[in-house]
Amino acid sequence: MDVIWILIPLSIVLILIAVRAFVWAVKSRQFDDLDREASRILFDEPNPESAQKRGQHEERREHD
Amino acid sequence: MTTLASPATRSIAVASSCFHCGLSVPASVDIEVTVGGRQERVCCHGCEGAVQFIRDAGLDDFYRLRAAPSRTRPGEGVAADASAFADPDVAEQYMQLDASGRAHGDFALDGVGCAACAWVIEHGVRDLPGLRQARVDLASGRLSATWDADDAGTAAAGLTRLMARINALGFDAVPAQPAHELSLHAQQRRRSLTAIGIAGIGAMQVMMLAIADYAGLFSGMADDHRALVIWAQMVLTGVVVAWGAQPFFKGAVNTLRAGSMGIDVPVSLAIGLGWGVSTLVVLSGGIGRGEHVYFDSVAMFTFFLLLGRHLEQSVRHRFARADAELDALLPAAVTRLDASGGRASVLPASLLAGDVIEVPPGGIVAADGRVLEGAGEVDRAALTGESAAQRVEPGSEVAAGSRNGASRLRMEVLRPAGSSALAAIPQLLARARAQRPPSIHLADRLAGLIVIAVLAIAAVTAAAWMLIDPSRVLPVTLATLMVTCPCAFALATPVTLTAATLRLRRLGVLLVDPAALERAGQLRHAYFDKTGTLTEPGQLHCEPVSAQTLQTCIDHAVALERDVPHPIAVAMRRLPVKEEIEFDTLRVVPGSGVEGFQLGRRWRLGRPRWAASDAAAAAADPAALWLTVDGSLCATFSFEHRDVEAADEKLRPGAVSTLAAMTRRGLELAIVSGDAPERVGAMAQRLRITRWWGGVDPQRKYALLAAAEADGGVLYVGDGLNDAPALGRAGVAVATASACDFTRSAADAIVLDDRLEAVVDLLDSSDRTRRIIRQNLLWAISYNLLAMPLAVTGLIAPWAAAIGMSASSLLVIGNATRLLRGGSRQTPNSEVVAWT
Repeated sequence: MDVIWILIPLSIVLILIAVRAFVWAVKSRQFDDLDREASRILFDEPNPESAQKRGQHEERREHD
Repeated sequence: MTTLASPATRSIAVASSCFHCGLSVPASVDIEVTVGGRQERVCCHGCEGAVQFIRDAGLDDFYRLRAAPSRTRPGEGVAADASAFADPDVAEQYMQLDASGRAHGDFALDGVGCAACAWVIEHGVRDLPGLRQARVDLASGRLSATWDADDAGTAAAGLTRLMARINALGFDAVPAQPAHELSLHAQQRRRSLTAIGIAGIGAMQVMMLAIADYAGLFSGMADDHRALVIWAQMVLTGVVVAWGAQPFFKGAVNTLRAGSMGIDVPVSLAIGLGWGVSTLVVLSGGIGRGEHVYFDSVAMFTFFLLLGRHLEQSVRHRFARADAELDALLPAAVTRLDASGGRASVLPASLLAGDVIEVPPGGIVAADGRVLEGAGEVDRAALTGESAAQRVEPGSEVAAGSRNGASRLRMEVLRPAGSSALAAIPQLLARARAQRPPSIHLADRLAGLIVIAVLAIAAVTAAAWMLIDPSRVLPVTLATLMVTCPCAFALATPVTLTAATLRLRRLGVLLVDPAALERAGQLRHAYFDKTGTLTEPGQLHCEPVSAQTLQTCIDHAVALERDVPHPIAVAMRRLPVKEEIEFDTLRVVPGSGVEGFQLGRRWRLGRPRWAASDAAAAAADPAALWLTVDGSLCATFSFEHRDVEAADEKLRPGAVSTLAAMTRRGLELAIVSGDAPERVGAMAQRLRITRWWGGVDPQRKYALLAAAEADGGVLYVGDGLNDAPALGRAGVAVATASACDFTRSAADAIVLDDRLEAVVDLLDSSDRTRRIIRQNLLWAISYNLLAMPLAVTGLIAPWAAAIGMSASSLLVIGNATRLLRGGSRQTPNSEVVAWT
């Protein structure tokens, strides 16, 4: 069981890292607007080319 | 996001509404754009441009993902005329320039209701030259932006570019003063979230280690391993206390400095004492002697308290209202003309008596003035509640806050904006707010006393155990502090009010001030505004004269007025249409009316003298509108309000049942209206209400409410700007859906859809809320009284005390969530929620 001499301090270090990450996330305003973040994944980055392609794709699907 | 709909379903469901803005497409307009390989109809070239812009920027996901259309046409709204802000002197008021050549400004957004809108704005402005950052905050409906600027001139140019671009996307962005209060709240929220995160992560780890420690007591554990487990707990709890518990320590120091007692004091004492003494035990090697540590209790205690506090804080912030100010009622900038005919954009506040200003069609009049040039109509509905438009011509006086009709007016300012009748309303409202007794929760009132009692009991307990058994002083004192901590007591009210707020939201009522639910318990009177609250706002009445049927006349009139941004046209469009008429050409004649051709016949709708040329027209009531075909009269339109007996005035659906419910509750009914006394009297008689006042101005309404308040609580339901001071004074103030933002800011609750019965729901919910609050408080007190003797006598260990405290709080929360069960009536028009 002597391994806990390493594991417990290690877990404390990990926790401090997790806390640090959380504080960073809050400070960089990632928790300010939860409604929006929830739906952000639905939006693609704007790209005229892909937008056109998607349009054509949809058109094709309609014809099928 | 249940409102997500594919473009296909939307275009089938509402074929005649614009793909972009959602407003109706005039029959005479036939513009189509291709989006996502599909032809979509739009209502105007502005919307066409917006769709093309969004599509070409690759942002057409917007249409797929938005919750609802913006209902703002590009080229309309305040921001359509961004030129007012091109003047650096005006723009300067709305932005800050810093030394590094950046300008920063806040914008109030109109038409933004979902994540898709925010996304399309942020991405749509991205390629503007010099723009550094643009971020939309959905909760407050604001955009904050930073752009490069060398001097005030280029900064103003950047500001107008941004406004113009957002307007081109189909939203309205108006420069606004930065909302300090809102950013302060966001800051507090971030701080509180940080504390919760740290305490939560830390407390869970400490608890895990503590369980290992307890398990070790039974199964046996090497002494050095146990020491390690406890040292780890000490370090982690140290982090929780030093970082997470800071708000309590700060709060305690602040209350003590202010010479009062708050709940933070015993909380800080329990946390500080628990950690400090446990650390001393560890450092002095007390574990080996079998002494106990309380890191787990301290960490969990901190975490649960932070959680409860965060809950309460987020409720308060969500409903925080910005103070109603005159600025909100006036245009952001005014065009002033100098003697030589030059124009300048100035702030309304800088207008002086004698200045000449120009008011564009649809614009808000910024100061009381006299018309010099131009004739037409102004709408004073917002100010007085009168729904009929007021005719103006050179020489007539126009009050600040009136909305201009379709013609351009040139006016001489009579009084500075600050001393208009309009300016008196915010002042009166501020006074009303100050005079209303602050709502003090029972819990707040008792908290101070309870805290002192807790501290005294803990001190006596500590002293007593010092004599009985010094080794048990710490655990017993700690357990006493924890058990008697009035957490459940402090939670009881806010958590119940939160649940009630959610429940009411589902019923279509937006509760702005949850404390109103408590005040609703003392109601004795129910005062109602008449026009717009009990009756339909400004019903137009159509009287056919010629062989045409009533329906034909209405159909033609609505088709003529379809695209006119005028109060009368708005009222006209509320009339029921059976058949859609298509006019070949439509022309608006400012100050006269609308003209359209159909099948070679000329239809006119407007002033009698213009619409028809015969002698009868000259003698006609100038306030009526005439509908004519080739010069001969078809029908007259007039506001019922003005020409029809009050007994015929149309009641809002649900008005009678709402009033009946109020009577059943034992409330005394009264009508207070700005309308003519005889009309108010007739309506009161019709509704069998014995107390009524007519022709009442905002000051008098306020005074009447104040007098009634002195006699017992008053429920006031109103919608006009003139109701705002009265709403501010009433114990429970409800604004109806038609109220403007300013009036809403004075109300405790806003009915979101057009259902007047929601007022009854509000009162019913308030009954249940108060009942649950009472139960919660009773439970919290009984628990404390029951557990205290056990803790004082040392029968409860600190860890059990921490669990008991949490369980008690959870019970209170669970009881409050009963409010969420039943009574849910999904708002049929969920858009209303998103768009208000």
